[in-house]
Amino acid sequence: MAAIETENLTRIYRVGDEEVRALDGLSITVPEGALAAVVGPSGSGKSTLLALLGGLDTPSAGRVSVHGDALERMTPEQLAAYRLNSVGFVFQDFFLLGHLTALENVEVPLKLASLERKERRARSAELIELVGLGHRGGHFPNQLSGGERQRVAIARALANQPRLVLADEPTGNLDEKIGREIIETLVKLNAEQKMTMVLVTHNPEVAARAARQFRLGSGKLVEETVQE
Amino acid sequence: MKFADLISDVFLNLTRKKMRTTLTMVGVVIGAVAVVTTVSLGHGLSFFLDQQVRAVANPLTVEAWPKKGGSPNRAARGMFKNIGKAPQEIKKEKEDEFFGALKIKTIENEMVEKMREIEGVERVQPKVFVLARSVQLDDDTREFDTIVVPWIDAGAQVLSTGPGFSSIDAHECIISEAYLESMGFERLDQLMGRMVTIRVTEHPMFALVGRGGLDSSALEKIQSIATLLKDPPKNRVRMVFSLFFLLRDLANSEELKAMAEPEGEPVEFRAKVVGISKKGLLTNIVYVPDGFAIQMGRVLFNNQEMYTEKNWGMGMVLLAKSKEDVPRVKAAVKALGFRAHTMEDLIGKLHDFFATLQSIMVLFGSIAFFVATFSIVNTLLMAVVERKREIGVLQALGATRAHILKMFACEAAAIGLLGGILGGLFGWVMAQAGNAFSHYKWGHIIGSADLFVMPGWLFPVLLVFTTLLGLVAGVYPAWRASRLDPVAALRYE
Repeated sequence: MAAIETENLTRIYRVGDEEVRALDGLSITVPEGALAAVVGPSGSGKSTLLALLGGLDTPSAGRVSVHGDALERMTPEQLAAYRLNSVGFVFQDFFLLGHLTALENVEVPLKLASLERKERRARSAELIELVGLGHRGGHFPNQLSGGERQRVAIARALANQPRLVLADEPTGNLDEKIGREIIETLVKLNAEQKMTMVLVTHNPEVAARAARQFRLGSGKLVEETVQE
Repeated sequence: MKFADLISDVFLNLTRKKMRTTLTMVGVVIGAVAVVTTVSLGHGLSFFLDQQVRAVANPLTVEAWPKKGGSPNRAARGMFKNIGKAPQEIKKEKEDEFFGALKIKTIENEMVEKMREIEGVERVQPKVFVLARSVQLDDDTREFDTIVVPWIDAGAQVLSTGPGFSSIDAHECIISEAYLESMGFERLDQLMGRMVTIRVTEHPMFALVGRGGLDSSALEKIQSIATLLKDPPKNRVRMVFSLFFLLRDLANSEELKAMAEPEGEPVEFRAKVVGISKKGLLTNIVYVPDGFAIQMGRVLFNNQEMYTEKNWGMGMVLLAKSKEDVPRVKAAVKALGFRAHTMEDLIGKLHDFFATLQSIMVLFGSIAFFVATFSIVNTLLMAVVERKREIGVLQALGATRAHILKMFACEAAAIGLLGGILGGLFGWVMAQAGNAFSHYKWGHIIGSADLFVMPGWLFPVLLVFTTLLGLVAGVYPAWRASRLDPVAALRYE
């Protein structure tokens, strides 16, 4: 079964009187449990695709289905529930909440899911351990390195055991060595936890790790590569 | 998200910008302090005066006053309400409402008889005014100022010590405990049994009532004013000047000047001190038996027929047999066509007055609340902009619009709540300081009574109000926050 299916997915933005077609009739399929990479130059629609797959945005036309749920038909509340329970986001800029410790950041989605405090604490500690930061849980983001921050962000993305993880340039703000470690972490999680993962990247080396690569250009699919 | 988690997040968010939160709260705090102190003062004063009136006034009396005519208030209203208007036609049913209708009306004997027949009435007697100039102890050259009150007007709690009056006409008096100090005594019994002289004077204004009304040149001047008001010149400025000069002439008229000064030598009444009354707000009270008061009252009016069947004066006092009879007596007095007042009416008026005063003062306090509302709106709008990315992150992590809305609305409500708590506490401290000051400054008058009394309902109501105020102020910023586009919010630098 396909985890992700898009059909003629189109997203048009209006900038003044001008129409910008960020995505223009994109149709792709990602199988369940696959690691997919979306590559392409800036402005090719990679991040827009990720926002649509994550239910942060709604398409102007076309369909987007994730694990059988038609996102384009969902209400804002349903999309929020979808983001809470089915998707984990990892951003280039980490987007950790600066006033919370690493552990508390991981707890945020668990809090939103109304988990009991005790349960939350245990789960976030487990996740922090999983990303190798067990000793840094009580630190605030500004006390952590870039790589550590991204690991916290990954732990947060996994908090509610999503079936889909969307990572937007997760190594973009990290040096090469750390970036590689982060990718290894994601690849490992994909393999171990059988979750579908979509990575947006500029880095061909990162893209090469993915089973499927979608190259976008001007909002359209230019090339699709499937690794056996 | 669980409500408890939401609340803990809200308070965590507020502590992130402590200074800003504090400054935003200042308006609420000021408003709350103003409301708490003013309401406490109004409540305390109202309670204090209530107690004072209950302590000295007679709860068994019903005063009867004529409805029509005889009311200087009504005449004054008639004068002022027509200012600037075209002359009004005097209609029969409203003739008493015009200035020219000023007449002093006395109560007819027939009516007094009817009052005596009312069920539950023990005694009916005229409302007596005594204008006493002084009270003086025998063997003492000093004269002390005094207010002479007929015993019927006094409450049962008044008497502090002594046997009380031997009869209604006895030449006796009950003198306020406050005289003790002024007269140089230490113990109550030092005053008991002593003889005093009460000096009572005639007053021309009251003498007019004794003669049956105004018939002087002053009345002509008053009529000129009425004519001017009823037929005002078109030129309003001229009218105001004419009015000014006429009023000045009236004020300078010999008769009114004579009214201002009592005439002749005061009449002396000797009385034996048979009791000491408790010290109240009015410290210079001397109570006398009702019959004795009537004799003194006649001096004031310079008319020996006053307070007899020939002239009962302007008002009557009906003494009910019991407290239960008071409402019935009051209704019967009204049915006879009179205005009827009881002690409870007076207390009710006092409460109404303080309630109005409080409302006005609270209104001023509300200005601070009004400003505070804008301050909260402004702070939260700034917070929405500053925390745009955070909102985007929360949305990406699964926060619903409702959650974002609740979070900001609760932050606003929490500012209101905290401001209310702080303001309430400061207000309470101010009220206590006010009490300490008033005891220090007016302790000799008010005793141990508190002028600032915080009613039990005030603090909870204040907190509910300030919380709602915050909530209302937070609605718009919260709505704005909840409507943010997550993609745009995440991109926000």
